[in-house]
Amino acid sequence: MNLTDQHSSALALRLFIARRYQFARLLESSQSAISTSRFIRLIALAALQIAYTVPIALCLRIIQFVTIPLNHYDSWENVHFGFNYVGIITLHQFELGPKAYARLQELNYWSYAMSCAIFFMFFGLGEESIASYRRWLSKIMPCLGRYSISDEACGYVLARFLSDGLSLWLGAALVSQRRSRFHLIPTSNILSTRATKKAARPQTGSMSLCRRRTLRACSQALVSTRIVHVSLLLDLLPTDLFVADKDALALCEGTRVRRAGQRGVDESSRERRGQRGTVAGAAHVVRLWDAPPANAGCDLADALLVDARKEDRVGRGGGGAHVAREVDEDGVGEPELEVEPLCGW
Amino acid sequence: MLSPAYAVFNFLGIFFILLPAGWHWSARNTATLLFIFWCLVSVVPAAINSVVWYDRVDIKAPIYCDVRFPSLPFQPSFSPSPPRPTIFPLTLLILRGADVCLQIVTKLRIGGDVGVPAALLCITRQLEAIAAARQAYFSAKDRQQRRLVDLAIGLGIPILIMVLHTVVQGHRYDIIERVGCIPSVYWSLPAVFLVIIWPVVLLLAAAVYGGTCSQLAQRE
Repeated sequence: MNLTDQHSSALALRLFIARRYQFARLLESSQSAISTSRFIRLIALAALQIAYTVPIALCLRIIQFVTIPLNHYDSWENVHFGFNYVGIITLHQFELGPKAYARLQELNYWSYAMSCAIFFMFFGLGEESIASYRRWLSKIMPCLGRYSISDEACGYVLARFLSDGLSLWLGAALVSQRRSRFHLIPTSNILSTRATKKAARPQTGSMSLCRRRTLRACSQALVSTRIVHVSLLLDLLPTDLFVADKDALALCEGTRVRRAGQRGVDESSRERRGQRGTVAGAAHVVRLWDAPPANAGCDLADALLVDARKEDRVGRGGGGAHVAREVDEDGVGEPELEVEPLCGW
Repeated sequence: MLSPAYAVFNFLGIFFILLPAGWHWSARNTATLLFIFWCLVSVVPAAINSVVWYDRVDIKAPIYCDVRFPSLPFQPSFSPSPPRPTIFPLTLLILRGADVCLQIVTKLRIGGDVGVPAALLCITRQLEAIAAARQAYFSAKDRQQRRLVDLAIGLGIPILIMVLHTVVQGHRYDIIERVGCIPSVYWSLPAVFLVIIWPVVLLLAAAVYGGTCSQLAQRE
């Protein structure tokens, strides 16, 4: 493969990513907080469901139309004559007719279970569902929930953050390695689940120990390194906290908070919270074009921790899971990042 | 054949639909919730039916045929009823209760058959609206309106058809071994237009919406 080929393939890749990115923008602009993956899953669900049911229904109906002559509907009394009658078909009788017809009927009766299975296939195994299962698990069995992978990893990293200043960078690097895993972590799981609070032990460097310090260290590390940018921060901090201090965030150099739609992010999030009792519903998007300078981290951390009480509120609200999705290598390799709270559309 | 797996998978289906439902409930997306609702409505009775009627169809049924509704003036004239056994009032009550349940379940089966395609139509409609991006911004009022339309399609149409099914309901229901009670339809032209075609029509409409939607998404 020569250089031109590589160049053109890179261009193609870039075009593809740009397309995806545009589509994500489009989804975002409809203020629906529906992510591309959810969009695709819904489409796939509909497609599979239609592909399963339409042929069966069509064949069944066509066979019925062809083979069974239509009765004459003369009067209500005649049609409803003998209304109390209950027809009984045993399995043997069910098999008596044409084989194909019996099979079709059977597939038709299977369709209930099938549609449930299809739904589970697309939505039961998604990251948000896994997160909620984990939440349930940690509610039912705190000791089990605590040792789930994400908590463990997170606790480890936070412990590194806590132990001393030197390991900050190490922790950051570690985080960047395992970033893909961190995308799956719901905020409530890390910071505010009651189970986590209960289970937290100072020795293992869990959350309840110096939460402010932890957060500050995290945000400092995250913002001041170029490797790890705000994606982890967004994962770690309750979305609410983040949204509330968008102005503070916007103050950081090189950071822009983009509002989706005409309304301020605050208002819509508050409105949704009021409506639904869920945490942080606004379709807000935070984009980072460049990492801010090192000293911006402190400001950010301070700004984020202005109201520490919010953490607890978020904790009680529960379910502040969100997905951070990243479109890397978009254009000239600038990291693009967006956060979508998983509240309805 | 309708093997034991049928019953097993119906029960599994309840869990399959309920596990992700919690998260969807918090997301409050009408179309998906309608889908979940109709799936649940059809799979729960299907599961119970598949166990209740697992290998019997003729134990309960004669009792039903002879004993049900002795108080009703109308008795099917083509089946000369044998001398009725004496029944305790409680048994009668239970039998009647069971009968009412079966009727409800039969109606719900009609609803589920139409409801799942209707919910699919809602989903694809919504996706198409998003992909087409006719509006840059959905206000609260727009969303409210969309929700109402979704409810009209996904809840209104199935309920309407459940009601209309009465017009062509020749008798109470039929019972198939291992499947349970299924709705009876007096096979006639009104039945075709009132009940039979709607699932197919809704599914085809959903397919059209889904097609345009994926096309739009690809173009993006």
